[in-house]
Parts: sequence; C-alpha cells; structure tokens
Amino acid sequence: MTSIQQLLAEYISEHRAGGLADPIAFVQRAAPADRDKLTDLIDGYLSRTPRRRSDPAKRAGSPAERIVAELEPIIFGPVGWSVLLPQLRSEAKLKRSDLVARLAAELGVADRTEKVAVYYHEMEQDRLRPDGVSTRVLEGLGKLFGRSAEELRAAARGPSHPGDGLTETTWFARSVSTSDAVGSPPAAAGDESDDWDEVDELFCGG
Amino acid sequence: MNGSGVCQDLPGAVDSPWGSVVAVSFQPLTDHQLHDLADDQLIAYIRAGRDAGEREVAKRALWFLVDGHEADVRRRLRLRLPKDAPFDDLAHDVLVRAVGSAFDGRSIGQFRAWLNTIVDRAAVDYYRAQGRQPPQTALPSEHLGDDDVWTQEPGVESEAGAVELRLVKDEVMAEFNDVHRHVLELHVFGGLTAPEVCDRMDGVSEANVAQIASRFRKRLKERLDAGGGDTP
Repeated sequence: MTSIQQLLAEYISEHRAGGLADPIAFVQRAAPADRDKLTDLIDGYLSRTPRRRSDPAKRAGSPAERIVAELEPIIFGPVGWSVLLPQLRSEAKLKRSDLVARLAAELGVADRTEKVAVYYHEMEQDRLRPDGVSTRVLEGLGKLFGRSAEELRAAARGPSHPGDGLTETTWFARSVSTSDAVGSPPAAAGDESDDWDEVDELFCGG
Repeated sequence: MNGSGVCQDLPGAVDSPWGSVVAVSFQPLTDHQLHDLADDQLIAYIRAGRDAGEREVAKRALWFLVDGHEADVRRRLRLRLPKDAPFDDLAHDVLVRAVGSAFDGRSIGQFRAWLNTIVDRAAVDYYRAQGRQPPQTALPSEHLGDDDVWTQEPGVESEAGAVELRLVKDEVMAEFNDVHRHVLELHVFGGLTAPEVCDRMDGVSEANVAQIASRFRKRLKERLDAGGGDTP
C-alpha cells in the first residue's frame, strides 16, 4: 500500500466514524510530491459522501441554524410581524405596555398612548397593512429592539405568502378613539372617520 | 395507498423510502425518517411542508439538509483555499446560494451536483477577489480497476457537462449500499488493491471487491453511454 492510499483510507475511516476528519492534517502527512494528489482524492471523496446524520440536540446556535435563518425569508416568505414582534419584545424583555409607552413617547404622541396600543396590537396580529405603517413607527420600534426599520419592514407579510395556509387577510385600518378596547373587531380597510389624526397617519397613512 | 395513507401515481408524487408521497395531506416525518431521505426528496418534503403552512416543520427539515452538508463544505473549502481564508463565512455563503437556488429553480441538475459546483465556484471567486490565480492542479485519472484504466479525463468542456458527469457518478454511487460505497471509495477512487481493502473492512472478501467494482464500472458505462457523452 502506498502512503497516499493509506492516508486516504485513514481519512475515510475517520470521516465515516464521525471524527474530526481535518483534511489539512492528513494532506500535511503526505510527501510534498503527493500532496496535490491526496488533496484531489479527499476532495473527490467529500464531494460524493452522503449527507451526514444530524443531531437535533445541537441545532440551537449551530452554523446550520444561522444559515437557515438567512434562508427563511427566501424559502418561506416573510415571517410576519405576528411572529417577529413578540419575539423581539421577549428578547428585549419589554412588557407590551412598556413598549407602547416608550414608542408613543418616541413618536411624540405620548398623550395618545392608548391609541398607539390599539394599533401596535393590530401589528402583532398581522392586521395592519405593512405599506400603511410609516417608517417613523418602524424606526421607533427599531430603536427599542436594536433592529433597523428596513429589517422590520422586510419581515412584514402582505396579503398572501407561501406557507400562509390563508387565502385572504382582512386589513385593519380605521381611526381609533381612545375609548376603544384592544381586540375589538377590525373594520374594513380604508374606513376612515372624521377624527383621523396623527396617530392614524403614522400607522395607516404610509 | 402507501403506509402514509397517500395515493401513488398522483401528480407531483415524489419517491421516498416509504413509497410515493404527495403533498395531498402533508404528514410530518420523524427525525429518523428525515435522515433516510435523499437530498432531493428532502427538498420536496420542505416544499410540501411550506405549501401546507407547516413552517416550523419545514424549517426543521431545512436544518437537517443544511447541517448534513455544512461540515463537508467547510472541509472542501479548507482543501482548496489558503489557511487564512474565512472558511466559516465562505461555507455559510455557499450553502445559502446552493440551497436558495434549489428553491428558486436556478440550480442545474440535482442538489448535490449543484452544491459541488457552487463550492468549486466559491474557491475560484475567492482567489479572483484576492487578485490571485487559483492553484493549477491536474485532474486525477480515474481508475476503473486494474484491468481498465482511463488514459484521459472525460471530455467536459462546459460547466453543465461537469455537473452532468458528477451527477451521473453520484447517481450510480447512490445505487450501492453504504458498505459497497465504502469499497468503491477505497478501491475505485482511492486506488487500494482488493487485498488492501479487505484488510480494512470486515466481512468483505477479495471476490466481493472485484464484483462490486465490476458492477460499478458496468453501471457507470451504461449511464454514460445512454447520455451520449464521450466514453472513456
């Protein structure tokens, strides 16, 4: 058995056993004149070997998980504010009431915090038209979550996306009075009353 | 009906180890079942899960696909690039490109062959970005066994041809079980003699090695001849 073949066989054994299988370590053990050849042989083997068995217990924080996170909007479409906003709020350890108060202050409408609360609730239900929510609102949220307005905008879902399982989405767009309770039935899109104000403009005016 | 309660021979049916599977009613698979799916079957499953609204189930399967290849992509880049190259970032980019392409229709041929092509491109692109030439190494001459040695590389002048050749080799290899693939890696691609293979593998005789290699050679030639490519 030649040295290069022995090294290849050892490499294959280590790789199949789930070992470190660092190819450089094996190539460096070969005679200099044989290193290119061994490189090609190991590369050929790695290009053919079947997909390895994965351990789901190691999924969190794995390099593959970061790749999946980048692929997610490409393959599945935007995750939607209904998923992202509660997640970001949890990571920031912010109660919804605190977040709303800080957002209203950031937007200069602290005197209409209850109205902001209703609209924010609708955002977390994916019931606001994304193109109606102003960049100022997203920038304000972005400051609280440590994310950019662009990132928050990109995560918004439109009327239909692959994997929705939905055929239509009812949009919430109305002038909300401060006496309205959170969770009251949404009106049809574009239903504006006479008391349309700055808060309505921020969340529905685009 | 197969064991999953899904009818065979319906449009969009995909082969799986448990028969034809159609996304009529999506049935999440166990981790063990996901492991048994080939790459292209796994991609079809991810699409089916996505289209059925099972986002988290499909994401989990996507992780299996990516994780299953990530370490070997990094190893292959380490073989081709200088030691100070950002291997983790490059492997990340390779997999995002390869997997993303599989879902938007840009990939050529089966996933594995396309992934290999993306790895090749990533290495060349890295050198170009550094203003350097990639190292020029001769292609290995592939030996089909002691009696039949290729004296020149198969003619593949285009990238599509290179992908197709890899695809054919991968498909033929996939027809063999794990033990037989190990024999082929050592004897056909690695150049070990039959006695040397037997020394390394329990339960494999020299006659077995010869039979497996002969069957591989025959299948590969059948596939290449059927494809109309140059016969080595």
